[in-house]
Amino acid sequence: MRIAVCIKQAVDEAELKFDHAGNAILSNAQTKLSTFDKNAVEEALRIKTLKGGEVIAFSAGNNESKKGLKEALAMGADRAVHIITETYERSSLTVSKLLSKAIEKYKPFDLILFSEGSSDIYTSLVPGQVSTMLGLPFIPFARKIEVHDKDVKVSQTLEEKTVIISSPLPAAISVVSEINQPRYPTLVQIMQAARKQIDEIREDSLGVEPKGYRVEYIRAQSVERKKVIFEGPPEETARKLLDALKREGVVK
Amino acid sequence: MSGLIEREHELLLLQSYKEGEQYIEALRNIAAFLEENVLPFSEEIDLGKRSISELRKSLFKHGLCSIPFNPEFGGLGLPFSVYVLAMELAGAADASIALSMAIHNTVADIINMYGSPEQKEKILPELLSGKKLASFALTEPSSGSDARNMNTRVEKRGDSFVINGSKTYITNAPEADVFLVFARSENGHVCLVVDRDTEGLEVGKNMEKLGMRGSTTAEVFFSECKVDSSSLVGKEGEGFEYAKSGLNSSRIVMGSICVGIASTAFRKAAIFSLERRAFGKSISEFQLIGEKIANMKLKINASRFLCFFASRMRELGMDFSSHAAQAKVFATESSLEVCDSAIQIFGGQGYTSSDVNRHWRDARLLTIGEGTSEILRILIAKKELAGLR
Amino acid sequence: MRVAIFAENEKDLAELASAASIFAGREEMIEVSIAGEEKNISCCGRKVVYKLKGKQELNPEAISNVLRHVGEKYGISVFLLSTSKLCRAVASILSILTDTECITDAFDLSIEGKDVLASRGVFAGKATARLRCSIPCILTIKQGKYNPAEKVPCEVIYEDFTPPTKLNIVEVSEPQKASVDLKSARIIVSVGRGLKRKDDISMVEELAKALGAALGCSRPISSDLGWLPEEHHIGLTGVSVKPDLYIAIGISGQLQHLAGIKDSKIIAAINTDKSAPIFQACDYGVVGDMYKVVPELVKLLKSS
Repeated sequence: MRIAVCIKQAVDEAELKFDHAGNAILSNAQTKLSTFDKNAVEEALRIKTLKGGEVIAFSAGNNESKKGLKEALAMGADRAVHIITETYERSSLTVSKLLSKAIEKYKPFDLILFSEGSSDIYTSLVPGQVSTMLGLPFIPFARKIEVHDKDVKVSQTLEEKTVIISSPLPAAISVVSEINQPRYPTLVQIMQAARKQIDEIREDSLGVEPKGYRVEYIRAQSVERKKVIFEGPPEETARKLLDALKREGVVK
Repeated sequence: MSGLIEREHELLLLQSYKEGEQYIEALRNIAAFLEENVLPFSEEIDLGKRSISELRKSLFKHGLCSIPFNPEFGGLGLPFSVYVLAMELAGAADASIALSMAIHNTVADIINMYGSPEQKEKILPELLSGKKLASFALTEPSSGSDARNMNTRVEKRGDSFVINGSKTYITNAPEADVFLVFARSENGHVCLVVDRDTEGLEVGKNMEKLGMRGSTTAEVFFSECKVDSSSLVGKEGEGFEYAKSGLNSSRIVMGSICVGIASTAFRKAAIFSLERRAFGKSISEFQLIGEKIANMKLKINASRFLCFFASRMRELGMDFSSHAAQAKVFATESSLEVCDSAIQIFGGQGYTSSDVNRHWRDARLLTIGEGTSEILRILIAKKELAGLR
Repeated sequence: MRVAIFAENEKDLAELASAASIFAGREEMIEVSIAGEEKNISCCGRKVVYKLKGKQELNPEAISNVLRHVGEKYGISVFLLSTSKLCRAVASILSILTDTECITDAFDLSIEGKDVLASRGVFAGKATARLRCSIPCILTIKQGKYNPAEKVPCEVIYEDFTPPTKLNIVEVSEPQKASVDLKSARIIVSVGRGLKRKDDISMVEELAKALGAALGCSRPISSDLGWLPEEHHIGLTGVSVKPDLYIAIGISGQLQHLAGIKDSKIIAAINTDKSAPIFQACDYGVVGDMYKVVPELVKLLKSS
């Protein structure tokens, strides 16, 4: 079974800083492997353990993306492919085109896995876009995946319903973070990953014209909270809180 | 980024290595692992509500103890400095676990340096993977600092060694599977590997301690304890030299653990000083608190660099005994001062909350264990004066 | 220009129609329905009805092919969808089928020449991005940002079209009785990791009852521990809410959770850990044991 897993080195939202005008500082921002992407890698590895085969991680982005790919390799992915873009900002559509062109080069695959969305922008568009470009059936928001020889059965959680879907292979699936608990690579695995190969593909060699939304600006969400803190015995703090909420008119 | 790594640039120490980026990645990974799997339980460990054994196992599995050893024996073949910095992170997450693993690794280090090829092949993989836990049995009831003058005797009988005597304050003893025992024979000091289930070896009760409460400590008794001659590490008569050599490296690690302890205490106190308000402002704005914050940080970084300096000397094959002693004396004493300042900044809460004062209690051991500050100062002075003669 | 809207429920449809008004008048709006049979009433001038066989109404692939069909037949310039999981998936597939640009979770729409400008929350709600894309385009509209449009009689057109798909919907478990409607709740009482046992939920429920509030929770409670059904989960990967009052109990305030509550008017928090990030993101905070403070609150509310 050959499995492709698409990951993103995302800007670490917890470390994101803003300039004086409130604009997000994205150049040299701290990055991390998008939180939910670890679940996608874990699921690929889980399936590989059951069915054998190979897991190849794909990531489109600037040089930071190497870090995320290394992490995927350390977790146990066999190979990694880095589609090098000049900047961090690329629309979902452009990223999807880059990924699907790169995946084409490494065909055939039985499964393409994604996470439900990236932890920084969370458009959750890339999985459906890549699948459709590759002409594969797409099952989003999987909570459980059962892989058989010719088909796959997925349990999917929508807002109010649980749906069980089956699809012939090859197929593309996005997973929700509840699907598994991603492993921590051990030190040995990190050292081994350093020796595994990361293939590089230059963005311009894929003939993808940047398309899709353009970013006008990204500014700090400025909701100033009052941050009035009460400390002391419970009967006292409870009363103070209730009085404050009554003054605000949110409790009668 | 992990909270255990105070500042990215402190890892830059490693960037001077050819493969430094990789070492930094490894340390970031360890920090993230410790932060999620060890740090949250540190208070419970101190309060005796949780044993460290499962957490220690997970760290062994993660590879913490394999860092400086040869891949042939399951090691990672990384520089000693990477191990020293990893132990700093472990100390920052939980000092008890760090201590237990450091002692274990001192045993592995000595076997790696002086053991026979057969001993290394048999013992090291078990130790590096954590399949067996090791204990270092040197100190005796009547000889601490004057360890050379030990009373535990060993007698050669045919193809065996027979040990009689007792050891005390032995870290890991209640849980250890294997002991590295130092004793005296008619030919001088001897270093032996003794399995826990050897007849004639008995371990006392786990001792109550001021700090490092998650680690176990006990007396070990030997009565006609007979081991095969293949248990001998190195040569008869040189055992004490091996202990000294192992302790030299171990002192750097103990210093580093103290840097970790101090940085956790520092972080807690610094955040508290920003949040705590008095007389209408954050107490961090008072200059006397600011002075404390500055001094704490100074001591932490100075200690860290001394530890790195000594470990780098070891890597380069230089005599690092004085520098290791300097690192340990300075880092352990500084750590006590930093942890004391942290308690002072927290005020009443510092005195009453285990989460604040355990750092001082943990650090308190290390101006005593593995060479007291006093003995180490003598060593430093001797060494430095000898260089001028 | 013509606009097509699609959502899974009436409330979302009404909001979409309202958002669509910047592009077109009601007569140029088309509501796409896959229900099979429909009344002649809608927020749009026309309703186009498709009948999908075999539970395909939950198949994003089938729905996106239906929308493409609508697009080609009626000359649609803008598709507006809700931000439900199903609609997000539909939007992503449709954007490739029709080769159009797409913005998800959009609000504050405006038109500038041939472009649409839209805002969306990014970086777990820490920032807002203003994005531009050219028309034709697909937008999924953030819930609760537009006042629902009114329904009036409309023209109904039945289409006979079977969308291609490889997916087979095997089973749909009965929609759980919507025991909680967090999106429209005025007050929400929400509980997190500070909860020690499942049984203690009753204590929090009692407070919710006394306040007339809906019960929510952070991710660990629903997803990791399974102490509450998933529909109670508030946050980036759960429900986003905007009540007048949000009370976070034993919730540390991870960014992912804060992303789901940032539109609340007033946020109150109860937590033992004074350094918990929730205290940086609330209006009123109580540092204390939820097991002591919550019963006190219930007592006070009952006595008044």
